[in-house]
Amino acid sequence: MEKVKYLGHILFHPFDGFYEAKVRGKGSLRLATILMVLYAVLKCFSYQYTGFIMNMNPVFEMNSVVIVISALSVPLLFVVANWTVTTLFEGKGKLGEIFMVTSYSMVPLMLGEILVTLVSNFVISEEVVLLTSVKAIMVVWFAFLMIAGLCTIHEYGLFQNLATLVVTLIAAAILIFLFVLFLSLMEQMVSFFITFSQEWVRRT
Amino acid sequence: MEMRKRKIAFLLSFLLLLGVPGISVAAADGSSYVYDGYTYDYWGNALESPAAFELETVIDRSDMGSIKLQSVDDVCTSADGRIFLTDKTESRVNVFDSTGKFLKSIKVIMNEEKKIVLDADGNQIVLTNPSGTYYHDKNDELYIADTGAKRIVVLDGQGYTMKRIINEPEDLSGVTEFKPSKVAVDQADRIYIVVQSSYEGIIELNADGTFSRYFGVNEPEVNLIDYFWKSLASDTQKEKMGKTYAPAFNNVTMDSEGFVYAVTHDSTAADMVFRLNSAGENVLRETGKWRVIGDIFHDNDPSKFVDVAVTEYGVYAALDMTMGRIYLYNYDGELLNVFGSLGNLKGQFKTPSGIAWNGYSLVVSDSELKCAYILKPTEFGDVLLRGSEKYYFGKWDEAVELFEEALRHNANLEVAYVGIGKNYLMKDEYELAMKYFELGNSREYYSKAYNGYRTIQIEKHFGIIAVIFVALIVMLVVSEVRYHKKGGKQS
Repeated sequence: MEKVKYLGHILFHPFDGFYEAKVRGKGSLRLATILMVLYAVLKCFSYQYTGFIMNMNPVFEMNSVVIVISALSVPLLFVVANWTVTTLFEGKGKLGEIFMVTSYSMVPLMLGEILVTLVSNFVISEEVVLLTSVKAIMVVWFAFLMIAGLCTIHEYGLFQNLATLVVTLIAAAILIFLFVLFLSLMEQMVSFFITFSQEWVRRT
Repeated sequence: MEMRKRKIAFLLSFLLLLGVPGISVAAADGSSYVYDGYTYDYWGNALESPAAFELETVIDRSDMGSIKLQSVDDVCTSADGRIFLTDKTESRVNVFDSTGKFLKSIKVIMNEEKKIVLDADGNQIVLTNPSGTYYHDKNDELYIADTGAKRIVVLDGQGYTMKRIINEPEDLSGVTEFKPSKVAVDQADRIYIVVQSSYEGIIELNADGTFSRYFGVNEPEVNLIDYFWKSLASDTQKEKMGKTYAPAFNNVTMDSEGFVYAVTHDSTAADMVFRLNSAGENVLRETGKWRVIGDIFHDNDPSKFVDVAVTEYGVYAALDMTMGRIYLYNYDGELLNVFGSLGNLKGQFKTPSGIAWNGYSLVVSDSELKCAYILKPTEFGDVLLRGSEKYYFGKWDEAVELFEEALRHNANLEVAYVGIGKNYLMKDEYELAMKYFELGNSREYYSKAYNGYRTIQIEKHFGIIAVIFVALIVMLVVSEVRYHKKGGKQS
């Protein structure tokens, strides 16, 4: 519970807050995981319950598995990619800490999601722009928290941090490539063994 | 799921395209081909729909006696229901009544004394490979675009006797060769002539046959990549690249308000269907979710419109030769129905060439099958067309009844939902309007209806809302005051 209270402190004092979280153990991995799951749930929630005027989704064919995967894959990929890059570039952050920063920073996004989903049921087209600007503000807040948090846990300056972020993007692209490669190779291998075993069974 | 559906649809259409070789124009039991229809929903999925039309009669050479019918290149109709089929190969214009009964074939032009008309050199005036006709109801005149002889022949609409001949105007400017292939005439008797593959536009002649101007600008789509390469290229390279010409119009017709409708199937054209105002600008309404381009998903094989036919209530049918389909759009450019296919069965197309309205029926010609089909609306098509007509003329209540009937045949018809919703919106029945706009996926109008609904709700529950609001403010003030008191004590 204390950790949750401290999350509030971090949202408004990210440099100080993330430092305390790193050094004095005021952050919580468990809370970070819960937040991450909550984010995925909120995405499903907003897919279905955003008001009709703002909701362009074909709600009748909603697939929560796809939404959860697409919501979580980006932050998780970022965490892994950033960790691989920063370990090479003398970042002091551990994998868990990067995960915590990412997940804590997403709280503004979640707040925006909740607010927009609820209020969008009571707006007309002319007022949609207000809600999109609320969302934009939340994204700015999120970006600020991310950069501040990463700077703090890696003990980076701003420009070094931005440079590693760019490299992170490249690393993420390589990771995706490797993952796809792995999948297709596995598929070929599995199908090879299946055909092989079928042949084996039928010949003997 | 989506992909699989599309794959199956693609396979099916491929099978239809291939057809079954060796079968003549009729199904095994002699019945005719039953069209499958579809429309697009808000997300661009093709949704099944009953077809709006079914085959009624096939017009072919069977009751034309010794006269041959070698191809049908254009079709037009008169207000009293006669059908004119142009046969380019046999150089004839054949006249049928509205049921498809053969009336007359025109080849040699007679005058009122039943004598063959001679031109200035003493030659008989005979049609030479005509490829387009237009019936001008205002003056009861039949205009024939006599392509081979480079002239327009104007006949009396009743006796088919010679009225006048419009030759190439002497003051014709530009590089276009005067080989009229399609023709249309407006209420002021101005003549609009399409020359195939002319990039200068439609030739507009005054009523007396003198040249007026080139009409209609068909803008080519500018490709960013091409633009980039051209900006780099040297002058000699540019010469080799070839110019991007304005796309040529393929066909032309008039609507009841005097606007010129034209189609093009040039791949470089930005638009495919044109409604040209007197300045030659395209003012076609495209308020639907999708543009007026026929099929929205295709494998590099876009719809190619060869002809368009317009009713006086703004519904137009565009004939596509890629898939042999007919696209029905309403005045706002919203797709009502698509039907038709390529194949060998009776009712299917090979090379569709022309389309015209005959009352609520459509007449569609096919140059390769050497016949024309009279298509009559199905029950669904009938309510759809009449509903659109009432809607266009502002008879909302009748339109709503017809649209509701149409929805009983096809619950996927978003246009009908929106039409009904608009009627309720105008009567300030916001809740019903919202329901229908949601079904019709019209966020724009839903917002308008919701605005009214919200205002009413706020007025109704103003007391409660005000109390909650005041309570919130009071709570805020109280907590602020308390916080500061506490802070004051501590310091």
